[in-house]
Amino acid sequence: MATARNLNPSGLNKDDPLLEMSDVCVTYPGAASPALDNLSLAVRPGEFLTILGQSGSGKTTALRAIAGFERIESGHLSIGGQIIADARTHVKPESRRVGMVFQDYALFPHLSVMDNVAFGVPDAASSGKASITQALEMVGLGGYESRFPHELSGGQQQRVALARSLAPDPVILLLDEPFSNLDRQLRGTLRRDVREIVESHGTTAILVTHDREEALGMADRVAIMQSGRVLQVGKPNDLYSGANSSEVAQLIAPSNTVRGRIAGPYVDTEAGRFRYRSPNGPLGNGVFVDAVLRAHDLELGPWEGGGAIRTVRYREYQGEFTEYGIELPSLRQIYVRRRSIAPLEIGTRVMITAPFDRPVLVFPEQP
Amino acid sequence: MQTGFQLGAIRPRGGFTLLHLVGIAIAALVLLPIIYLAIRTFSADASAADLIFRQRTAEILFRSILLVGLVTAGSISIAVPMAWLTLRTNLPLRNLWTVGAVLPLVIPSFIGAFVAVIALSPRGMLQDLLDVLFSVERIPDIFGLPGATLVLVLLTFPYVFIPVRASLRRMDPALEEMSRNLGHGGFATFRYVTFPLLKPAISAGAVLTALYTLSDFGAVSLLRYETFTWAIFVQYDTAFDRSIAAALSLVLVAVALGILAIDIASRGQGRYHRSTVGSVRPTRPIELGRWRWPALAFVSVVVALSLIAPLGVVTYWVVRGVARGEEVGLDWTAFANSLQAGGLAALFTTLAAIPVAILAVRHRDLLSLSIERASYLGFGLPGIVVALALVFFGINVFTPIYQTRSLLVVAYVILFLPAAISAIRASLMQVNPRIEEAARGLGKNSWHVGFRITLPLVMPGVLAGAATVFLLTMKELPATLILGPIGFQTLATDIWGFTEEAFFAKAAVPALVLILSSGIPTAFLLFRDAQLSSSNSPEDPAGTTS
Repeated sequence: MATARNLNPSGLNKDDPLLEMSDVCVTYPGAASPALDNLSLAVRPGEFLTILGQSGSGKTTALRAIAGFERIESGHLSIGGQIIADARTHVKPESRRVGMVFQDYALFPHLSVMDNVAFGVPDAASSGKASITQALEMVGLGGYESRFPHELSGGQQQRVALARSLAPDPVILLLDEPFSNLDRQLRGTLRRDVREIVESHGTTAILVTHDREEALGMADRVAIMQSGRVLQVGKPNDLYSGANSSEVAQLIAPSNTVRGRIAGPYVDTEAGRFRYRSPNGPLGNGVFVDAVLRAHDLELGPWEGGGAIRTVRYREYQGEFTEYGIELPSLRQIYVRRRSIAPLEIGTRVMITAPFDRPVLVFPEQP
Repeated sequence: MQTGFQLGAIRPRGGFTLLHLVGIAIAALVLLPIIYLAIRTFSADASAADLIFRQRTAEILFRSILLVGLVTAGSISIAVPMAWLTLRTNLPLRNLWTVGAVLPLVIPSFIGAFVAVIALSPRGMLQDLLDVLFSVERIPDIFGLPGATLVLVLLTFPYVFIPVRASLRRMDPALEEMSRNLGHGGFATFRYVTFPLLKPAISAGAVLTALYTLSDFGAVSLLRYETFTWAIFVQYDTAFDRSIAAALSLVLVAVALGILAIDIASRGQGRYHRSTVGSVRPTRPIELGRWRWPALAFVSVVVALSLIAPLGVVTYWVVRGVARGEEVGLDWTAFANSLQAGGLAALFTTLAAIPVAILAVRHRDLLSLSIERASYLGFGLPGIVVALALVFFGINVFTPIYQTRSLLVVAYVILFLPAAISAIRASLMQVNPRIEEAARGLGKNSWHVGFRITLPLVMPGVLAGAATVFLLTMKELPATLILGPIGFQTLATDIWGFTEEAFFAKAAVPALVLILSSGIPTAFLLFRDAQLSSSNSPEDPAGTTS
C-alpha cells in the first residue's frame, strides 16, 4: 500500500496541488444526506487554507477524511500526486503523515507534556530530549516538559497539541476548530501565534472554523463550505468583494438576504430601494433576485413619510458600533450596524439606504 | 466521581441534629459486632498470637490468595476483550452479548458450583456424555482449585466488564484517533493509549472480583477448596472451641482490608483527568473483518459457559426429575422463608440507609461522613465474618434475639447497607437542594419538606435499593447457614444442603427459582438500557461542530 512517508513534496511544481480532493463523498451510517457531497478542493504546497462553514456543513468530516478517520465512498484524495484514498484504497491514518489538532486537543491525560510531544516521533529515544524540547520552545512552552495536561490552561494545552502534531514533521497539518474552546481574548493572540509557528515550520495547513474573523484573518485562501460541498475558494479579499452566491456573501460578512426585483440601476426590496452590483453578470429589468444587505454597509436615515413603514425594534450597544433590529413591512427583522453616535430610539421610523460606493450584492433568485 | 448537586452546590448544615443521632446508632450497629469479635479473640484463654500464627493459617492464606489471584487474572482477561468487542467493533448482536456478559451476576456462586458438580464431576453429565460418545472413562477432577477457579471466573468477570465498558464508553475516541494520526498502529494504540486509560476501571473491577472471591463460601465449600471462609465454617460447625474460627476471621478481615488498601493506594497515583471539554462523539465501529468469527466464537463460548450452561443444566435436572417422577416439588416453607427474609432485610436496610444517605449528601460534616464510611464496612466484610461476629455478640450481649430471625436480619442489614446507601445516595444527588429550599421558603418545616418533596423525588432510588437488597438476601448463604434458627431453611440453604448430600434433582428446583427471580428483572432492565443507549445516537455522527 502506498504510504505518504516516501513522498517528496518539494519535488512538486509550485502550482501543483499538494493535496487534492476530487468528488469525495462520505455518508454516515443512518444519515439522510451525505456529509461530503462530491467535495472538490485543492491545497497548494506551503499555503494556509481555512475552511469556513456552519455547523453540519461537513467541514470537520472533510478533515477526518483527509486524516483517514473516515473512509470515502467515491471520488479520490491524493497527497503529492499519490492516491491515499478512493472507493477501494484507504491508506491507514498512521501511514498518511497528516498531522491533526483536534478541537478539544485530545492530549493523552496519562502522559506528561514531554511524552505527549514525543509520542509521534519514531526515534524519540535516540534523537533524545533535545528535539522535543525544541518543539516545546517553538510553541513557547519550554520548561513545561514534566507537567501533565490537566495542569495546563486551555491555551497551553492548545500549544502542546500543536507541538505534538508538528513534531513528526507532517506533510499537511489539519486544525479542527482549534480556538473554539478558548476565551475571546486568548483567541486573538493564539491565532497569530499559530499562524506564525506553522509558517516558520514551513508546513501546509488547513484550518476549519465557523468563525468568520478567524477564517478570513488567518488564511492565504478561504474555502466556503455548505451542505458537504465547497461553494467558492479564494483569497479573503476577493471573496469579500467577489462572492459568487448569496450563501457565500452571507457567510463572509454579517448580512441579511431579502428578496428583490431589478428596476433599472436599482433593486427594489421591502427594506428599500438600493443601488446594486451583480457579480454574476448583468440582469434585465423585472428579474427577481436575492439581495444581500451587509449589516455594516447600510445607513439609517429619517423616515420621510409615505410608503412602507420600517421601525427600530431593538438596539444593542456593542462598543464602536450599535446593532439595530429593523422591522420590515412583512414583520421580518433585519439587522443594521451603525457607528455608535446619535443613537436612535426604539420605535423610531427609519429609512434604510446604501451608500453610493457600497452597492448591495444581488444574485439571480434560485428556483 | 459522580456528578450531581452535591459538590459546591450546598454548604454543610451546621449543628448536631436528631438525624446525626440516628446515624450514630446505625454506625454502631454495623461496627460493634466486629469490634466485639476482635476484643474477644484477643482476650481468649489461648493467646491470640498462637491461634493466628499457625502452620494451617499460612496454608489457608496461601490457598486463598492463590485463588483470588487466579480468579482476578481470569476475569480481567475475559472482561477486557469482551468490553472492547461489544463497544468498539462491528461484532454482530452486540446488545445481546452485553446483556449476556452482565447477567452471570445474578447466579449465586453455590448454584454455579452446583452446576459444575453435576455437569463436570466424575460420573457427572459431561463424563456420561463422553463415555457414550467416545468411551472416555475419566475426565480431570473438577474438585479443588481448577473447579473453584473456573466457576468463580465465570461468575465474577461481569464485575470487571461493567466498569471497563463504562470507562471505554466515556473515553474520548479522539485520543485513539490522535495516536493513529501520530503514526501508531492499532496494537500500539491499544497498548500505549487505550489500556493505560482503562487501568483505573480495570483495577476497580479487579478489587470487586478479589473481594467477592475472598468472601465466597458457596463455590469453595461445594467444590472442596479450603479457603478462609470454608475453614472458618468447618471450625465453627464442628469444633467446640470457637476461638480458632474467630482468629481465622480476623486474618480474613485483615486480608480484605489489605485488598481495599491496595485499591486506595493505587487510585491515588493514577488520577486521570479528562483533558477535554466537549461531549464524546459516537465513533464508527471497527471492522473486524476476518477476526469476526473468532471474536464471535469467543463471546459465545463465554456467555454459553457462564449463563446458558447453568440455566440449561438446572432446567435439565428439573425436567429429568419431573419425568422420573422424583420428589422435586418446591419446598414451600423454604420459599416463604426466603421471601420473608428478603422482605424484612429490604425494609430494615432501606430504613437504615435513608438517614445515612441524607447525612452524607445533605449535611456533609465530619460526623456525617464518618457515619457513611462506617456504614460501608459490610462492603469489604465477608458474610461469614459478619455472621460469626453476630454469633459471639448474640450469645453474650443480644441474648434475647440469638437464634431468632431478628439477628439474621441484623446480619443482612450490615452486609447490604452499602448497596442500599449507594442507590439512595445517587438519586438524592440528582435532587437540586434549591427545590428543598424553595419549599422551606414557602413556610414548610424540614420534616414536612422531607416527606412531601424529597422522599417522592428519591423514591425510585429507594425502591431500587430495596429491590437490590431483596435479591442479595435471597442469594445469601453463609450468614443464613450460621445465624438461621435451628431448622430454618431458605432456597439458598436448601440448594447448598441438597448439593452437599448429592440430591441434585432436589437442588435443581430452588436453583431455577432463584436464578429466574433475579435474572428476569435484571435482564429486562439491561435490555431496556441497551436499547436506549443504542438509539440515542445523534443525527450528525460527526459531532455538532462539523
